Amino acid sequence: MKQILKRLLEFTLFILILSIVSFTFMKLAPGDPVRSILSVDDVSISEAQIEELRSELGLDKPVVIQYLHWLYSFIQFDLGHSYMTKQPVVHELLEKLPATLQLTIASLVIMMMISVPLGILSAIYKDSWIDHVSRMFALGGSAIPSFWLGLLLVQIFSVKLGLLPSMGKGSFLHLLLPSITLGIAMAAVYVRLIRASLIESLGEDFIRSAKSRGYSRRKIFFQLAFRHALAPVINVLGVTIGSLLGGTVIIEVIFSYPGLGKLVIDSILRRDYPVIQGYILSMGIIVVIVNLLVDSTHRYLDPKIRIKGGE
Amino acid sequence: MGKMKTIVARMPIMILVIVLLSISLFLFIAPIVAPYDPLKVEMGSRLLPISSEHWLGTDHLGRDILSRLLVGAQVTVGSTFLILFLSIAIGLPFGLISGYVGGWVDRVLMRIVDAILAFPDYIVAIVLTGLLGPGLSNLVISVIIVKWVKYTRLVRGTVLSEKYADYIAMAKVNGLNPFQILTKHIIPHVMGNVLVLATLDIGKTILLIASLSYIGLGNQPPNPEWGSMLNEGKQFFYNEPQLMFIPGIAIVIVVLFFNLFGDKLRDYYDVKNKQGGY
Amino acid sequence: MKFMKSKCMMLIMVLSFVLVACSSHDNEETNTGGESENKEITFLSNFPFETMDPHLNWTPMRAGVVETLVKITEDYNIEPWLASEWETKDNGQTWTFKITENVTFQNGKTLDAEAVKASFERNIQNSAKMKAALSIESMEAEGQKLTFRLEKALPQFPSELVHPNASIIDVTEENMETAPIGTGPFQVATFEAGTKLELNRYDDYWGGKPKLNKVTFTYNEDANARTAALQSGDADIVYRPAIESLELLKQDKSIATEVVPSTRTTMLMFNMNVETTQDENIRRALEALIHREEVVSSVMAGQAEVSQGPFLADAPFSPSYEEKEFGEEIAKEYLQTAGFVMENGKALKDGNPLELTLVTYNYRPDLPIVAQILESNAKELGITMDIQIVENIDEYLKTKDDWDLAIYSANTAPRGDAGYFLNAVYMENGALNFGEVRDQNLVNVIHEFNGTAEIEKRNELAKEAVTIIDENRYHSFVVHPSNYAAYKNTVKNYQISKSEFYVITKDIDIGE
Repeated sequence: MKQILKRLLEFTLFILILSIVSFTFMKLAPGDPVRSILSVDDVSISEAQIEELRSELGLDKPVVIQYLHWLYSFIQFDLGHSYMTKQPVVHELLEKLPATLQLTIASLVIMMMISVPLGILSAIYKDSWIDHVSRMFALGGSAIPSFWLGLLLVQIFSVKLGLLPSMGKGSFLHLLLPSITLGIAMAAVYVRLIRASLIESLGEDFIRSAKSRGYSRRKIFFQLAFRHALAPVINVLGVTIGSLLGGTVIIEVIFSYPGLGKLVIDSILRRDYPVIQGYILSMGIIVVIVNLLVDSTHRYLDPKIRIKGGE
Repeated sequence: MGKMKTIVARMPIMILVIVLLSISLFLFIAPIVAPYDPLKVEMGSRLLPISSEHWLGTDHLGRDILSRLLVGAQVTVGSTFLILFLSIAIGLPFGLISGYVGGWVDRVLMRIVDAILAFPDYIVAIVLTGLLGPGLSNLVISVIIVKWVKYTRLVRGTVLSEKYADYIAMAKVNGLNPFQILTKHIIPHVMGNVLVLATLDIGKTILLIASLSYIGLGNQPPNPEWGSMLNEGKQFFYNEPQLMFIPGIAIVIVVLFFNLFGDKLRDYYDVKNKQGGY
Repeated sequence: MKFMKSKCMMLIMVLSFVLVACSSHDNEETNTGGESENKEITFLSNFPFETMDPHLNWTPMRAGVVETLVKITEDYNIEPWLASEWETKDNGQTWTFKITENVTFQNGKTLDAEAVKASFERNIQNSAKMKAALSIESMEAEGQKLTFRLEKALPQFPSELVHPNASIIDVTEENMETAPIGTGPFQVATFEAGTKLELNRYDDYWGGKPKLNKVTFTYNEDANARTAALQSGDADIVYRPAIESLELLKQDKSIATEVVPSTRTTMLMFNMNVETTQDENIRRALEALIHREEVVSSVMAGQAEVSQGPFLADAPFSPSYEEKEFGEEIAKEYLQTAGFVMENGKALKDGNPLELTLVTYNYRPDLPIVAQILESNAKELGITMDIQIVENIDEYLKTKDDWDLAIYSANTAPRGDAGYFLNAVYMENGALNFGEVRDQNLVNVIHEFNGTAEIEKRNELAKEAVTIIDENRYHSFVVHPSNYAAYKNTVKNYQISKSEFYVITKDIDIGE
């Protein structure tokens, strides 16, 4: 109980500091949403009308007052409205969230499909040709800029060959190119990680003792070694999901994929403050939740703890 | 024997320094080596193919691609070095203080470090650069804000593990003040790890700079930078794919080189550290 | 170990089966769309649509979902649409519009003055922009008669009503931001923000039954991909295909192309608070450095017109201009007149070099290219130019004073009236008067223009104003970029509008 309370307190503090920092920063940075709301390049508007809207939005008040105002609404679960679409920010974020989650999950799946077999094979056949191939893949994969890879894939598969849609979202096919792009870049890291982790755990004492106790090879590999090897992998996965969310921003922009990343870039360009603030906060929350999940999975997966405690 | 050992221990750093120096030298002379003015617009000779005159052809404004690539290296790789240097310059002292002083200073610093590390570096860099306004200097500032914390944490960790070592205690007994202990004993110990991390970071930083320049947040035209060269070349991909291939391949090669180098360096250090341990 | 090997092979096989299964499943899905008896087209563009709220986005108007009270023709005339006639008695402060009879919303409701009033009320409340642009003080609805009382006299009020965000919707309906109910020939079937919009024909459209059954509006930012979509048949009409591919598409017999000059103008702005650019000779020298024909042929790939002034030459408010000449020699002469001498490859005046900061932005990709051409040409004359690409150009130019030149693109006659451009760019408080041009003579002419309601007289005054601008080179106008589209030649009656307001109409058809 005390543990949970402490976590909760830490979480609240984190969100509070995060919101203060991002808010101040946003306001100190140059940029004026009022002109883009009024789109002065389109209708004839006087400076007086610009000032009027500025005070209407409360943007002429000191930053502290603006922040307190924002905080007051935030406590009531109100993140305000987007300047541009007039929709509630929560609505905007929730609308875009599934697309980004789909992309994240699809990339993870592709990453697994590449890295798990490659990692396992190169651990079992250490120093064989397959090990070398996977090492080459890992080196190459982490050196290719993902935006470049994405562009090449688009140009080849959708522009030249016309096989896959290059932009937008909708079917499974729309997801394929962006998630392959992200998946390859990540798989590069994981192939090596899985390989190293497996080799290490195959040499552990508890594997040797399991062998002497007469466990079958299959059981040793999949129930003990593999599971033990997964723990560090899951651990890194927690960090990766964070950077994956970051990677989606670039990929979403390149593929015009209507997710959170595209939303935040558009919002930054138009200085849509409520949306930017909402995005930063929700990212913070997602990162914290992922870390919690990783922590608990980690405990569950570590066979050392389980063997000692159970069998 | 003792002397031999220190020479061997310092070897990788020397190699690293030599490589870095030669790369820096190359970056320095790149504009001189470049066959043409990388900014000279020559509308009469736009989109020329590869030839003996223009080894890598020309771009949509008739500028020599090889020259832009060479000078672009200065921007891309040069700003990467600048970022890492400044990140270490900020991260190292904070890490030393945090680790050595401890107490509330440590706690406050670590909360800040945790908060920044909690965020994916791409997101922080994008949001910061976007808000500060696109431009190479703003990009450099944003990436430093993202990067320094890693070094602070690494240095702090190393300091904590060394703080209670016998030789430090000896130094204390011998009457060295904390500043002397840090500079004479701890910093040399920390630097190896820091350099390994920095070398491994070069590739990532190059990719980050290129990505942000590509989406228009980093380097601004007409300055050549590999990411923005890709951005400019994109619209001609259909007919002139080399505009997309050349800068992209340049990035891959350079990043590959630094990654390999970093790997080697890390392996070496691991071996060395383990030997030291036994 | 053998056992393990087979296990792994199995794993790989299973994974590849999953992959194959997934992809084959999807192939089927895409094939089921197939050919049908229905007449339908897909329109692909880079028009953004994050929301379908017609008061915030232009797509509902472009897609033929909603309409405005009046519309603008290709030759700048204001024509009746949802309003059949209108008049003002007090030189533009009170306006009475007669709403067209027998118009129905897509839900069957009849359009009357009350509904139009309600639509405007919501509009002003939701869109700060429209509130400011229309400056409506009050409205009065009576049967089919709607009277606007404005905050100030606005002789160009009907022209303001042409704006796509001034369109009329039934505000009693829900979901105005995803499926607004308008009076147009097509109604929203499905809407996915930023991706896809599907439209069905509105059979009882007041202008007659539309020829197409279905229209799909899609979005793709990548011009190459848009070209490819046309070639592969995924799209029937592609707005702005890759500019470099247009010549190639023209040779394809199954594809038709259309190029129409737009009311947008690329221009060079000068900061009039800076000593150098205050000198008309310097402005003329810089102007001579941008070779318009070259910009048209290589930067715009031929898809633009050389501009003589702010407005297209065929606009009724375009005067005739003096002939402009370009070239390094001419620029050099103006520089010398301004007191500069060339020394060691630098242009110097009293020992000081000519160094200028040129600001532009990326949103229109041709602007940085024009900037780079200017910079490179200026270098030949010993002028140092520092190009700054800024993201929020309007704000930068307004708040900063460290720039000398800007390359800017503006829609100079967005609704067929010179008033917007003249007021925004040359009046002291104009939102686009970034260089702070202050010419009392010019201001007087614009004041007189603003107070005039009669069209002929307005056009004469506008010409007078533009002549003053031209003679003083307050701006240097470079090109009018064209709007262009490519479409399958089976598509009939498709037309690009100069204003880009009207895209999908009841008349568009598709045949064999």
